[in-house]
Amino acid sequence: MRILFAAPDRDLLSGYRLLLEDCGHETATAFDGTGAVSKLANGTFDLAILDRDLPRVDAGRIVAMLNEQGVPVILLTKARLHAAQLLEPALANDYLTYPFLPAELTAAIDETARKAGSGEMFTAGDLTVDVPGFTLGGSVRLTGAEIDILAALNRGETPQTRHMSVYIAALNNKFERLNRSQRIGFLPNEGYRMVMNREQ
Amino acid sequence: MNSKIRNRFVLWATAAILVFLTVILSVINGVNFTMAADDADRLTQRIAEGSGLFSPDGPDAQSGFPAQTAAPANGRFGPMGPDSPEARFSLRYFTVRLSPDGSAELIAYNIAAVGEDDAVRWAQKISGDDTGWTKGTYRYRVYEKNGSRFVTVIDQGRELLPSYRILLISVIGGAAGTLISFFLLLALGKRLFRPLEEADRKQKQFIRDAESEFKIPLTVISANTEMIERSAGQTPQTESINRQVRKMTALVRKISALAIYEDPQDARASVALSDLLTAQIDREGERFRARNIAVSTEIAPGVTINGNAEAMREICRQLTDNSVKFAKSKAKFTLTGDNDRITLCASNDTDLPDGSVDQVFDRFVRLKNAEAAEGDGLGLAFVKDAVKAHNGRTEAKVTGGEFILKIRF
Repeated sequence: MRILFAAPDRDLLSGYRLLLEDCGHETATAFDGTGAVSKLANGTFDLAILDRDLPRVDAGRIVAMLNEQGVPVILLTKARLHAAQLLEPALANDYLTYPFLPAELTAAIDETARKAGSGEMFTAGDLTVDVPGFTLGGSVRLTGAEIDILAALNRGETPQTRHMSVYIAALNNKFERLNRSQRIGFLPNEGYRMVMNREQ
Repeated sequence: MNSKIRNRFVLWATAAILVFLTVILSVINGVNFTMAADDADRLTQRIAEGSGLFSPDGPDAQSGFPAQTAAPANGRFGPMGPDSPEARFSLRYFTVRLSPDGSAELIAYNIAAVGEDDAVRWAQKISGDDTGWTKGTYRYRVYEKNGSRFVTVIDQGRELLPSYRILLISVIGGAAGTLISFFLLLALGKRLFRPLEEADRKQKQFIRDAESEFKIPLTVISANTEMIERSAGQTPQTESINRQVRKMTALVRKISALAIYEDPQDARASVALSDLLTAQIDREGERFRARNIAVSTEIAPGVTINGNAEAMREICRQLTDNSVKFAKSKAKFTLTGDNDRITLCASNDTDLPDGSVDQVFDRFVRLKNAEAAEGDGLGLAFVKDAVKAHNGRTEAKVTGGEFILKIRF
């Protein structure tokens, strides 16, 4: 895979460049936003890893650009995840918060690439989840973690991920946005479950 | 948190000043009035000795007032108060003799404010014993002589006036003093507690900074260690680095998690707290049994709270985990309340001495008995933050060998 890694820390870039290349990925790095934009303009990438605090060009704008081009993107963030962040129109395909272990990043890369390349579709409640398109109900964007949560709920399993309540809050908000009377509730003995509020 | 401590300090200090002033002023006024009563009693005693007539040197049947016998020595104070030779000029009194046959006779009358008939009626009404105050500032004495009852009443109004003034000044002065102290403490409290508040703020800032500043270095170290392992193979050294990095990563994540439920935008829903707690205690059953801890529960069914489910689950998890680690032989969980007022209480037996142990809720603080147990001193700090985010209060204390942790929503 061709990967663009953009972060404002040279040690991080050099460390991960070696590591990603060792994993068999062709890796380009950028130290700031302008660098990332020019690298993206001059080459095709299968995936981008961006630091949210990239200087000069706002990471959100780059994410929007990549969304348009259909290039999956993993956003690295130092700040904690907010539900509001997951409701923005320019949504990364996955979010990793610092500090993360190499295995966590490589797993995120593999999983994001797998989802983007799969032709999987499933329904969560009344809504269709388009896995390669990372969308819910045809229009609302989803992160990989949210897709995993919905898939786990479909299988009757308790989803496991970090920042669970943030993702659940975001998902319930997205259901509301699509005017669906379904939500993810928390049952004490079972954990999270999809709850349908059908009118009789 | 510190404004609470500050307000408590101001209130207690003001209360202490109020108590202090009350005691001091009560003693001063009490002694003052007792002395005034003593002076009056000495006068009435003198009158009683004179069979109802005032006489410094003995009875004088003619006038009741013998000539002055002792002039004050030059340049020196003579005897004061009732012993003063001026007493006979300033004394306002009357004496009534009450015969056994019921007749009353005014035998001494040297007072302007009371009419003669009134004096007799007044004396007849006084039935109390020995001495006492009547109509506020009049001192009376009842005594028997030659088979008759004598009632002497002296007017102490002028003598008591300064005492009443001191009392009034004391009350006003005491109230004003307390009020001034309160406002002074309020103003001073801000200044006094500023270093403490500053230290608290700095500590929080430091933890936040440290957490934030550790994030990228940890990520870089783990990436490079991984790369070394890939190119040169795993060694005990790289394994050791990995272990330490994992530990620190977990710690940094936990510090981040401490803040995560403070956000009101995070999902709130109706959470069945009773079921959650019961399920959590069941889940820890094995660990409780392994440590021979007898668990008792008093969990009211159907208690729900509007809150963050994750946070509630974590609170229950931390409480049971704490009991598993630190109980000696007994642990108890109680949950009471309707939807307005919920009290969640976890207690266990302990060796800790009695007292408040609210510091268990501070970050990285571990009590003496925790040295041997696994932990990082963040669990209950998380509980406190999560409870606070739900407008609740936490409290921890040790009474009679029992550690009690109480959460009120």
